[in-house]
Amino acid sequence: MSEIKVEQFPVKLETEKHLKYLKELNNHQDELEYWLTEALRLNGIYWGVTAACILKHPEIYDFKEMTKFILSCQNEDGGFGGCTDHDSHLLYTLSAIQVLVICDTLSEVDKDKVVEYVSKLQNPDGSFSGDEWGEVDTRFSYCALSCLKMLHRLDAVDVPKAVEYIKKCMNFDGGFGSIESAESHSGQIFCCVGALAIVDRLDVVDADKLGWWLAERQLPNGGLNGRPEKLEDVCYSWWVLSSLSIIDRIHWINKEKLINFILSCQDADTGGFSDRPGDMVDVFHTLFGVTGLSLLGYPNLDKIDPVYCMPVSAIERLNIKTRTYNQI
Amino acid sequence: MDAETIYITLKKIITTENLIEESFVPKEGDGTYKPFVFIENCLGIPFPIVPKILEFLKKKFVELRKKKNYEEIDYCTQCILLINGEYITAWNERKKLIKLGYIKPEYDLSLTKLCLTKHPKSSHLWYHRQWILKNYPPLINYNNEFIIIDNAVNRYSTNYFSWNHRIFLLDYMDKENLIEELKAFQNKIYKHISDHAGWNYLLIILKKLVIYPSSNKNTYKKEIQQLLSEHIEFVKKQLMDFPGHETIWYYQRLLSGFIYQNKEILYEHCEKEIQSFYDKEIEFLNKTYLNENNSNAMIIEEKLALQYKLWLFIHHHKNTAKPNYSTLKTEIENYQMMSDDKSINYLLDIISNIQNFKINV
Repeated sequence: MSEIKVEQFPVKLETEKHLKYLKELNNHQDELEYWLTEALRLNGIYWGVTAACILKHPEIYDFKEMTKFILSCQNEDGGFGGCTDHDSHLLYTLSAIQVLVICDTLSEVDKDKVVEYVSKLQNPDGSFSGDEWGEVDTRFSYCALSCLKMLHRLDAVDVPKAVEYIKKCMNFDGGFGSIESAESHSGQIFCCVGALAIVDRLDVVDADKLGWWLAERQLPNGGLNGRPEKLEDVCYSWWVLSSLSIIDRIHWINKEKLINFILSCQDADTGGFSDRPGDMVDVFHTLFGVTGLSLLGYPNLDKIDPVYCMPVSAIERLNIKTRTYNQI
Repeated sequence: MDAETIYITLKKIITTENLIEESFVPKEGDGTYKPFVFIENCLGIPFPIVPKILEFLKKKFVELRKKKNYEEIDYCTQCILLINGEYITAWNERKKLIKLGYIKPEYDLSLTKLCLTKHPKSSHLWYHRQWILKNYPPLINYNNEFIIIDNAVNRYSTNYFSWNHRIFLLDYMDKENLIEELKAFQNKIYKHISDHAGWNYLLIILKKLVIYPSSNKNTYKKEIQQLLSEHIEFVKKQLMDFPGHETIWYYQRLLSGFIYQNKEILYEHCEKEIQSFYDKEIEFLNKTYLNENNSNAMIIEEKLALQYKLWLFIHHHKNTAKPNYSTLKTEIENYQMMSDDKSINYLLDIISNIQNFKINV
């Protein structure tokens, strides 16, 4: 593979601007977005801190403060809410564990309680509910398995059953949906392929068929969409690309064109990435812009693990096999 | 205006007015319900007050939960959810109150309907509605649900959650309902041509029909065969009527995958009939899209037809003698040269994987 060079592209990565944007995220407590995203604050923290790590400047955040806040979101049942005084849910429990792993402060949490919370959410058919109210989604399978793997406690759930359920959500096109019968969707594909990689069951996937569908997501402008005939969006550079990387088919898309597209979604004034050129930036798209570039081998970025969507260095610290796959 | 007063005003609107729609508006209103805008039963929530009121509501909600003040929790959560449909803890609290009998499930069907006008893509919101219907099945009314789904799809097309909601309803339908829904939906697919989820929905109806338990197996089989062959024709017609749509071609793949998987259930003389299906499909592709003399086919269609052809090859591989991959490979290479489009190189990779026996077909 040829090495990617900064000079190849008309625009460069605005690292300084992005770091400034990420650093100031918490300073906007009087703004609309801050309050509308309150219920998913833990996701936001995970998106921000992971982006900062990949940009090689984790120190823009105070890990001690961050850990303190994360721990304050843990509830009696062992799970984590999206913010303080919110009910537990797997979506936020995973973010909490991910941030604690990145901060290297996992020892400060009562792991057994987390394991108890997560394992109780597995249903008899192997699927996972997001919380006690029973919504089922393959996203939650990913959350549960990723979380338990990082806690070295996959033994707490029925892994073969979990795989069986994911298999049921596979469609004729090789992709996966949120539940059985649901349409294939790149985000759900990442969750299912990631979950299968975590439990070492990628044999379930038909790599050529799935890779085919994923490769078709690249549009003439280089960007990737999440489903047929939809618009391109920076977050899909992650969902599609990481899945292609896990099944070893990343060479089926045009890397240079995708890098160009991702770079065109930066806001060179404020920092941050948006879904498409010219739209408003947010931390979610900023993370997936940066991780997409990392997976594509853009220079001067830390490596991202395609399965866990976390810095490779953090995963290595856990002594979990990290599969950087065919990063260039 | 202080947050408490704004809360009391919003509470008053909820209790006295019959709201049918809500949205954010840029400026504060100065009518009866200021700072809200209220016109013809539609509520406008001004952006500038949102941070202040949400901060207040969160504190209030936490306090009320501690005190178990159910009546006030009912109002407070409604106010929160009108502004932020993703506030899952508020939906949860309402589920608790429904279970306790403090809130009627019917009430929250109306509330979710209203909130969907502002937050059509909130998964928590859709799940709240589903939770009610699952727990109180007599409340399921297909027409009501379909109206809500159509409205949400109109506000945001290719809305993943609304399509899943529609699929969820299929679980409650009997055979007659399913057949009716298949036909009705075929008639309006033109509204959703570029929405792949709509096509997936058609396949799920077929799937449900095929596995539907039936007392007279033979008659039922004939009925399904009839439906299926009409359906195959229907899809071809859409390909001709709406040229260049990736979604219909994807559906061809899904549908053929489905037919191959269920061939034993679908056909009496399965080997013969699946061969005839395959021959017809290949003939259709060659005649309509991969024919040098037919200059009407668009470049994109040629590409999509080549993809579908490979797809059929792979599925049919087990049935007869090995399809001629080498010829297809030449066709793909010719297409690439002619169109200067290298984006389907992966098809060549897949073919060489098959030829090297790297994948099991």
